[in-house]
Amino acid sequence: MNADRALVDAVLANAPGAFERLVREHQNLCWHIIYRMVRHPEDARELCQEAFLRVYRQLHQYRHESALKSWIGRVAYSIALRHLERRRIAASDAGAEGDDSLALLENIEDGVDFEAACADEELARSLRAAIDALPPLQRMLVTLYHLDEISIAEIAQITGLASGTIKSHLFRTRLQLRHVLENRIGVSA
Amino acid sequence: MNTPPNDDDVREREWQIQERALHAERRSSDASDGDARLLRYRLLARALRQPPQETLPADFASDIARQISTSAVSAGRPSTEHRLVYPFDAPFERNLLRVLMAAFGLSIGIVIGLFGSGRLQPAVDAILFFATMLKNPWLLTFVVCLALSGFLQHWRRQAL
Repeated sequence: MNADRALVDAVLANAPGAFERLVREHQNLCWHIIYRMVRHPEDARELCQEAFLRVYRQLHQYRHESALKSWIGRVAYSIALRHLERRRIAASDAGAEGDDSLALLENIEDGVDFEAACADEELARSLRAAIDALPPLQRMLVTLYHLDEISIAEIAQITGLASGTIKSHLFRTRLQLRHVLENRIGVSA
Repeated sequence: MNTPPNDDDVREREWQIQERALHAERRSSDASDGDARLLRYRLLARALRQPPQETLPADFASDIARQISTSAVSAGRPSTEHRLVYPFDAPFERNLLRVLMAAFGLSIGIVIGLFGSGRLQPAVDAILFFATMLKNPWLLTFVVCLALSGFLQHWRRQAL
């Protein structure tokens, strides 16, 4: 938090290089949020730029009540969400909930050769495709949780969603991806 | 007699396996554990830890910082995001806009010069006619209401 405060103070004082450092420290998070939601690289780059310009313009409103990372993440999330709304793209798949997850839970699988599966390019490709095919919100949530190692509580601050909702999305998404994996392993076996 | 586990128990157990797989991947711990379900989730966790293939340009941070330092924002002048990011901020577009405005003004002068002020008399008369009508307070109120309504709609669109 102290590092956040020092950086914010430096940016507000127009210290040379301060804003560039802020962007560099948080650009990956911003990119993951926006790109995973929007998926179109050009749009995502423009939105990322817009997010940081908004951060610059509104930084004086940051009250240090949450980590700077969460505050910037929230700006990026709201920009990505607004973009999807304008394009009339649903952020999450509300119909995905229900008994499907229970059916998947009951699956009993055979053993798996972990090392061979890790080296299987086809398997990796189908998993990437399955991740890409997830609804925007779910795709972004699993990325923040797994890749950026952001806790559920912090994701809740970024998205404004309840922790229980995030946990439920994570659970169902991973179950769904496991099902894709089962099918894929079944095919290659 | 054993009671069958309810849905919540099953879900909770599955969640715990998902989390164990996530942490095992973070720690890069040994994957010789024979639990098939855990290993499948480890494969998933590994795939989910891969960064997207598309990335931001390497000079993204310095580019943004440069835009800001050369923009009106850093000088404390009011501005908008669009003026910062989009074409009108570039010197070439700004100069082009000035040239076009000058050409527009010049062409108006030429039209007046060529066709004389006589041709413009109807337009001048129409403006004078409306100005006279606006002396009526009710009509003036009506026009003000229309203008206010239009302005509010425009302002709402901007705010959204």
